[in-house]
Amino acid sequence: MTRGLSTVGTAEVAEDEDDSSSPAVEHPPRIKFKRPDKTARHIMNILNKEAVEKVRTEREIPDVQPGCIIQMRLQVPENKRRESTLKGIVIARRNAGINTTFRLRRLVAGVGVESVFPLYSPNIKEMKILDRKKVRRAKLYYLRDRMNALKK
Amino acid sequence: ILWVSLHEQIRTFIQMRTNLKVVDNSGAKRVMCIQSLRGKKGARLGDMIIGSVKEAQPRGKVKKGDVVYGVVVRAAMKKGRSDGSEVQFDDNAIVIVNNKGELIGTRVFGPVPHELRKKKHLKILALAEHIV
Repeated sequence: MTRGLSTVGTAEVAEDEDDSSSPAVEHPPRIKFKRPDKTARHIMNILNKEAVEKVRTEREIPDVQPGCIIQMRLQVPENKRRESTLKGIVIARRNAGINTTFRLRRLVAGVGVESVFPLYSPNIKEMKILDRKKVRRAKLYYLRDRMNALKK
Repeated sequence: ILWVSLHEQIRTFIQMRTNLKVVDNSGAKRVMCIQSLRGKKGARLGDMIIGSVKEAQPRGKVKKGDVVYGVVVRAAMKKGRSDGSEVQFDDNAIVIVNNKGELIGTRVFGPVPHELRKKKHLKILALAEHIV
């Protein structure tokens, strides 16, 4: 399976001054920069994208942006196999490939609770967007100071 | 709760002189932590602390000035879970127990996390309104 790596390509070769160095040992031409195809960063990017696509084909994951009011069903394996329903507003989203997380703020029994969930977690059984508020910010931490009566 | 920059609040452990809310009907209203029984830096969610009652209701099981043990049920500092999620509350709250871990009050108000199940505080979980 080809993964976008190719062996055809040129590498940047630094100019060697063979005249000044010792003539007995011959150094191979020094490469300043690795070919972008061969860096670890590139390989990790490809692996990340593959993992994300694999999860996306299995489950439908909506596009959560800050300002969405979301209702989701979570299955918590920690001593409880029941599915709990959470409803709250997304106040932040952090993109990091497979480890993309979003922060949900909700009012539980009168107390504000913020939770961070990985977007591609297998524990999240279903996610539904109820409403989308217009916000002019990517991180809505100012909502911590205002707890309106409605879920805002 | 400290602020380092305008973007992110830094919430730290529960340590000496931390004021905590009491969320059961034992009679106390506010407790100041004088020692955390676990951790060098302070107590986190689900740990026990020793506190001194600073404010109490007139007729209750504990009076002002009592030294009591408590279990932290809500912490402003986030607590990581094994599935990669984290949870944090808006305030710090405890429930008053005796030194064996048994509850003094008979009701618990507000949500509690299910970290308490692992710490074997099952009575608190049974009385709670909502388990997060």
